[in-house]
Amino acid sequence: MSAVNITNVTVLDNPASFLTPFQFEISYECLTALKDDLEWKLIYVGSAEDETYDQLLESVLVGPVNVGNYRFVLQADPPDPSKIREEDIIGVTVLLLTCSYLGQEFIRVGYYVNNDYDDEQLREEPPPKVLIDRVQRNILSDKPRVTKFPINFHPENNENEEQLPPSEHPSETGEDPLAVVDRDPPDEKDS
Amino acid sequence: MSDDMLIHFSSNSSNQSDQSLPTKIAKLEARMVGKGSSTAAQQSGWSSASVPSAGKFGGAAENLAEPSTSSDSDDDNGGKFLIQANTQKRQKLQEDGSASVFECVEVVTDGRQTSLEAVETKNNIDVNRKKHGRGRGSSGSGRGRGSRVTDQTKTPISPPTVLASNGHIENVYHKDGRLSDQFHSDNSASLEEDVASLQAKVVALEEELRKSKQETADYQNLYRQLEKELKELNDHEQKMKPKRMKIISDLLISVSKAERQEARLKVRQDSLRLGNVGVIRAGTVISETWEDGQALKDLNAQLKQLIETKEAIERQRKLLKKKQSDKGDGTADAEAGLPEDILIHDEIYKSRLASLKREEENILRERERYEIEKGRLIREMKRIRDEDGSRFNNFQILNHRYALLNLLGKGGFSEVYKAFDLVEHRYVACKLHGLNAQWSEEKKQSYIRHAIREYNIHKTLVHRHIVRLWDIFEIDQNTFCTVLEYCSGKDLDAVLKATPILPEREAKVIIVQIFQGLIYMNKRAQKIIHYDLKPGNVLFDELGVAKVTDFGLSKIVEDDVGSQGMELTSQGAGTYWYLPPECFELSKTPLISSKVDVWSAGILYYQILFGRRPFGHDQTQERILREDTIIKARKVEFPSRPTISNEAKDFIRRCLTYNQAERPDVLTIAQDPYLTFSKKL
Repeated sequence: MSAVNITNVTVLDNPASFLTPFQFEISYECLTALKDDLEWKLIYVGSAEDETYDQLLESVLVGPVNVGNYRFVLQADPPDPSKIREEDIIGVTVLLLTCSYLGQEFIRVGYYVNNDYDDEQLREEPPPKVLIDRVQRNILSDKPRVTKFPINFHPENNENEEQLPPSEHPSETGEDPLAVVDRDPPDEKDS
Repeated sequence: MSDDMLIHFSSNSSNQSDQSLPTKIAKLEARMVGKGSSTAAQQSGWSSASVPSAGKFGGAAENLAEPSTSSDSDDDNGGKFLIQANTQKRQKLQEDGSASVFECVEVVTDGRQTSLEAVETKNNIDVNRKKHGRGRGSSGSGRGRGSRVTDQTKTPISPPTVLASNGHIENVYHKDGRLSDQFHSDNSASLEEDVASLQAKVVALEEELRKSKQETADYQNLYRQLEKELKELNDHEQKMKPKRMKIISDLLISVSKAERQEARLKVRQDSLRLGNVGVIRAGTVISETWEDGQALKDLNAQLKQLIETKEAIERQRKLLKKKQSDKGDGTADAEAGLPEDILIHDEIYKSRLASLKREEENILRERERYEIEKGRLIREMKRIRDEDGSRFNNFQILNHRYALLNLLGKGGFSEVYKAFDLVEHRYVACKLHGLNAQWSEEKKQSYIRHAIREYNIHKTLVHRHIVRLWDIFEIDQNTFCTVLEYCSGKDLDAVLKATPILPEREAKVIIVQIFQGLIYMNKRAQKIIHYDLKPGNVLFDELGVAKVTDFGLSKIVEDDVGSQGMELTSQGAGTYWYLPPECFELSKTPLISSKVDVWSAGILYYQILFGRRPFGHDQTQERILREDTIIKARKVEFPSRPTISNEAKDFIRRCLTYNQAERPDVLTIAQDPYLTFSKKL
């Protein structure tokens, strides 16, 4: 099981203006002591179609981590509007909060974000050029998407053993349940 | 949830069209669960727990299927020889066809000969009758004119001689006057009678002749009519034959399509309950893993709750005991009353614990049942995936007679389809052998030679407990097909997955049938070693008869082989759990005999009885090789349960005799009294 579990995330200062910094109060628990640092990142997805428009808003290292419960507030600058395509500023996108250990991402929390004008008149008749100071940001904090990835938190323990592929339910012979088992035709000298 | 968000977003976002928003939401959804945008493009609808496309993992499987280059040392001549061998086979097939055609020709010829003979007979009759007629006519004329003697004398003589003859006759007449008179009178009367009689015969025969001619004409008319009808019938049959084949084929296809839909529907339903294949992301690597369904999760939750309840009751019980020891220091009156109360509470807790334990056992048993169903579901999912990825899943008719239906299974280098033989009108199993186009020519030839050997061995085996091989033909340059007897029951592997342990009585009848097949193979002029006995290669028909199949690794024992056995030339092939120690010998070339199959059968019998293999059960093939597991398999251990008879254990020990020289061969072990049914279990 994972050595670190997120127990709670609270989005502070929501809804807010587009240019307001993000604040996330993160609570997590550590089940086994970790020697290295945890890396927390906040990523703003600038475009659904193109990952190159992702913006890394903040990255912090926390550690070393001992067994116990922890809480901290992660604050990040708002995304740079100039790096977002004009048609993608207004509308829906996502915000990703991730945590990694030894370069391996093991948990990801995603939030839907809706950006729109705070004025009803501007909503009905949007101006040709985006007025970024009038845009309101609304994070759907009550519907997070949590995804966990199994990683090896203690690589030094089985340094001398073959690393098994990640699988919670290994089959009888340790193979992928649906994998196709093939064998070579036998080498024939004469028969 | 996504739909609600869609409504929510569309009401707020004025500058986005409604059509593009769902797509965008889907892509963002994929980003949040860790998939790239390229993967998101493949999403269908709002499904967030997606199963990856078959093509992608099909490609992965294909990569896995890519074997290392063979070290075969055959030269081009060998290749050409193999090609010629195939040509010879095809020529032989044509010759058989020609022979059949020739037989037809012979039949036609016979007909003609019969007809000609009839004509000849008729001609003979005419000739005979004509001769008779002329003869009789001549005689009649002679008699009509007068004395026979006179007529005969006159006809062939010249005029001068007539006078002389005439004188001679008169002399005779004169000498025997009285006698001549009597002869003359009597002769005339007799001749007259003869004439009358013969004339009557002539009339009767002429009448008979007329009748026969009439009959002949009638029969010839009837013959022509029947011939015409036969031709019409043949033409009709020629038209109807392809129609009939098409109708049968179409009916089979519709049945197979219904079966496919039913299978996929059942898998989808079972997936909700038992689980499905999910996607796990570790860094940038995406791998498949199994996610348990709701049923198993519920069971695990119940189990966890039960354990917690048990622990709580245990704590209460310990607390009670502690209280009891404390109360012991109290007054006598209190002590007299309380112990009984404490005892009752203790009994209550004990009963509760026993009840919880029974409930836990029930849940564990149910979980085992679900695990079995899950295994079956996984097999079916694998089969369906293989079927969807197959090149032959569109109901083709191969070799103008084998209508492919649904996929039965897929192996390392071949896939097996259920099919219907439109000529013999029976179900068959078509095994499609695919040569990888990227293989080197040497590897292809090696595979082909290997398959041809299998065919040559298998086609000659005709036995109740051996799967029949009906046919073999090419499909294209890289594909050929072998046609096998279809066994509608399961294979032993599936049986054991559903019921890991069989009762000894049932297990014994299976192993007896397998040995009967082996005995047949070893009583032939050319003995055969199967070499790959394992549960997957034992099939059952609808009546439960066990049959051995898959002769891909089998070996023909040549006549000149000594008692020690033949050389093993394909070391490393086979399934290691079932191979005897001598097959893993590396210091020298191993010598093998039917004792290989005896060992395999022993392992098989052990597995049927105890639900696991005696050696290396939990090890992979590679680990068995690395750790010399089979080489160290000197003694077989039997678990205490289930209870198996000593005769069965002794039989297994004989089969699994480590020392090859001491192990009995097939014909020797066949004498074992355990394999006979004269004695009841």
